[in-house]
Amino acid sequence: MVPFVFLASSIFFPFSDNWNHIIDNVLYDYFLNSLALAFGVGFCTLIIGTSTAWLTSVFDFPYRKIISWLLLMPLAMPAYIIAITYVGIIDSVNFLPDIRNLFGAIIMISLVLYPYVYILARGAFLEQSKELYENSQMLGASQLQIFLSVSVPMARPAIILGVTLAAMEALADFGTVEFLGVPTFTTGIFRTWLGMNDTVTATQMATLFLSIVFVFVFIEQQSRKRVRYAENIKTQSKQNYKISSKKNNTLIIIICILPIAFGFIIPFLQLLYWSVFISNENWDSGFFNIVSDTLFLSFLAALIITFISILVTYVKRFNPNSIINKFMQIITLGYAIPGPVVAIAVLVPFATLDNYINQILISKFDLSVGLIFSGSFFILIFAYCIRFLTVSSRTISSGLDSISLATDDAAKSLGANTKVILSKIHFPLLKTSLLTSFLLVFIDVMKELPLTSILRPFNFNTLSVKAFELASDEKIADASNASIMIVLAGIIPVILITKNILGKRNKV
Amino acid sequence: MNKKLIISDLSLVLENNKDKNKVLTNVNFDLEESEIGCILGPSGCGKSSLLRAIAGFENINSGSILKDGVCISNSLENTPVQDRKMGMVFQDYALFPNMDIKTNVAFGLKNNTKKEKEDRVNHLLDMVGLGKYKDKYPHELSGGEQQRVALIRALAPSPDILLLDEPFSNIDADIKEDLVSDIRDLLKELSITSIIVTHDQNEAFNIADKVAIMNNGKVEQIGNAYDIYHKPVNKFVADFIGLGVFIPITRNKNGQLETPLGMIEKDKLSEKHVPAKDLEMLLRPDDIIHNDESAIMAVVVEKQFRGAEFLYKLLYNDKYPLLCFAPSHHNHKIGEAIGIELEIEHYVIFEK
Repeated sequence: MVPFVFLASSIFFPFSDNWNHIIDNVLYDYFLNSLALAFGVGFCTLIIGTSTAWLTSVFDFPYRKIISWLLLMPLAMPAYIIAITYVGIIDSVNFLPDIRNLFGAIIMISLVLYPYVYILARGAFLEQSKELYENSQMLGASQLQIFLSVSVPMARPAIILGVTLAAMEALADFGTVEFLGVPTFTTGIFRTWLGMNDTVTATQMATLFLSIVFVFVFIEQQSRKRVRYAENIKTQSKQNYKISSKKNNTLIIIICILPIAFGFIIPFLQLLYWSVFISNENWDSGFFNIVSDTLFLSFLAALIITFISILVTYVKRFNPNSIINKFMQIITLGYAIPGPVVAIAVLVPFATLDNYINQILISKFDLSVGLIFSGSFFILIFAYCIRFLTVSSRTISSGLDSISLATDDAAKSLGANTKVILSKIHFPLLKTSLLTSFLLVFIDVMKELPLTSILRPFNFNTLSVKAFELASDEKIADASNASIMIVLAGIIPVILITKNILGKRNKV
Repeated sequence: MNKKLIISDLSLVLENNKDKNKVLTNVNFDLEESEIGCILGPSGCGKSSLLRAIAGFENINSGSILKDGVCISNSLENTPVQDRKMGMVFQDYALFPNMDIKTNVAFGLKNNTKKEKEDRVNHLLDMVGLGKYKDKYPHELSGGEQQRVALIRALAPSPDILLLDEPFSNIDADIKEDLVSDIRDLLKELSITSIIVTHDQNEAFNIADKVAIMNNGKVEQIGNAYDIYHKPVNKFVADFIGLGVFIPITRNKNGQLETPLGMIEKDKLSEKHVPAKDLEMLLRPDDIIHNDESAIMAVVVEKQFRGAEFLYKLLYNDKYPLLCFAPSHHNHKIGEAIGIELEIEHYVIFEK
């Protein structure tokens, strides 16, 4: 909470001269680029995600199952890694257009974020009843008409949710736009803060930016409500697959393969090639140190954040009106806030606190303890909490919500106390959710770039920071080892998501 | 004074989202040892809240609950749920999904050796004919089977009182009737004091010794099925239970009470109905007999075929609707006038 109060309070500080420069020269660009990025990514993911979702849920064609699974694979690829890879490819062949611009950034980010729309839209399409579909056919509508005037409007809440999530993530992106040299709000805040050393202006920009983000969050939450509403309408029978003619089969497969190829297969093979044949980086002890550091940090963060999520979700269950719960609703907005903004929001107050503690200790006891909070893992984990608590607590609370309150009452009426209820009923039922939450945070921390690179303790390095540093030094091929590790780790949550979706299907 | 359970002047206020909601007002109810009681009422009348207060899930605001003469709940003190020795069967059964059937049933058994627990569980499972399912998981069982597991799970620790919250609401209609009487037999065999909450009057009449009709957080009437059907104390009960219509009562020149269908015999009239206000009388379909010979005629407006009988909706004298059961070989057309006569055992008269 403190970090946000701090950010908000920044508007009461005097505005520095740097604002004149920023307003005159860059603010307009920042604003326009960020907005264009959000809308561009929203539009591209809408087209790719909705069309592939519809094709894989309505038509039956060879390899449909494997293709509908592969369409999720780009999720494993962080946007900055795919950007690094394509820049490397384009530099080496030199007949392709340069992607170091806004357009390139939109394409790169869309290639890895369209699965958000795909998952949600596909879920919605599969829920739509067969009767509705047959009815439209009886009334003489063509496939395309059904798609545009029945399927899509009915799936609209889910599609809007997916597009908003993708747009928000694009807005919060740092690595990709930084690497491709596109000046946006995120990189602008970073530059003002660490390049121009103007913390106050940077926080003021961050506050301005957050106000824009909240508008998106509001839209997202509204559509989430409507999704819940839409899910409440239970349909009796599932839509069954239409068999299309052979000529269309080839076309459908090509359309579905394109995003998989560009979003995963090509960049992954390129990374593999670099890693095996070109990279000068050896798999030596230095590299394994980074791997073990990364695993240690991810493990620690995942453990702590999952633990906090458990506390939070239980407070919510037993005391739905408590203040902690309201406070959590604010804190869980963290997922929509870009890394540099979170970094500045936590670093400045803790650095001030550290200096204050040191001053007192030096003057009273002649003792210097260094930067207790801001120089240690504490601040890094704290920042991860703000960023990833939502992912974790949503996973756990959806698990907890599936245990009905009557189950608790039943156990109590049979003489069980709270300890027994938790250990014998809740824990066994929540195991999967807890593990999922742990893994999701683990992978997210592993992929995370800006927070880690700004807040990490001295001499501490992670795979993502290493890959980005090497790539920024034009050693793109050398970054491939670290990149491949991150991508491979990223496949785990994709499998988890797939299992989750399949599990739900089986239960229904 | 050997009542098993006495509820006196119980009131309950529930708070949600800052709204205070008085859900129960001055409720009185009691049960003898091994009596089966039923709380019957429309949804939202507070019947489930009453059951939850008895179980100990809600703390009451005034009044008291006594079990075996000992107070277990009043406005100041509440015995915790775990210590009340009451078993509860929940509407959605609330079986523990992570445990197999035998573990579910054994959950409430404490202070027994492993052997004793096993014997008890096997005995209970055999009693409801589910012995072969003991290693299955709840989701592998049908609704009726799950319900029986929930029932014996609640019975396993030998509770003093068994509470059942809408236990038949998820059961298919065709097996419900058998199930209701099976469970009544079981409860009577074990001679366990029970309270059942339901909105279904047939269920209530089939299973209970004593029925309490609730509406708007208040108990309207307590009695056996016969009394509640034939001697409802107010219009709500008369309306809620069974079918029936109301016809107006007027006073003629001689001061006698008269209905459009004839005079009211004074000797069948209890004293309290004499006040000369605007009165009306309840007529159940079984109060009106179809008789082709009768001089009183009414026109058939609607008819429902019910197998053994027809339920005819009639219109008498162009303005008074009546209901009448007739044996199903008396098949009359809509619009036809048929002969009826009154055969009333009890006059049920209310002020308008």
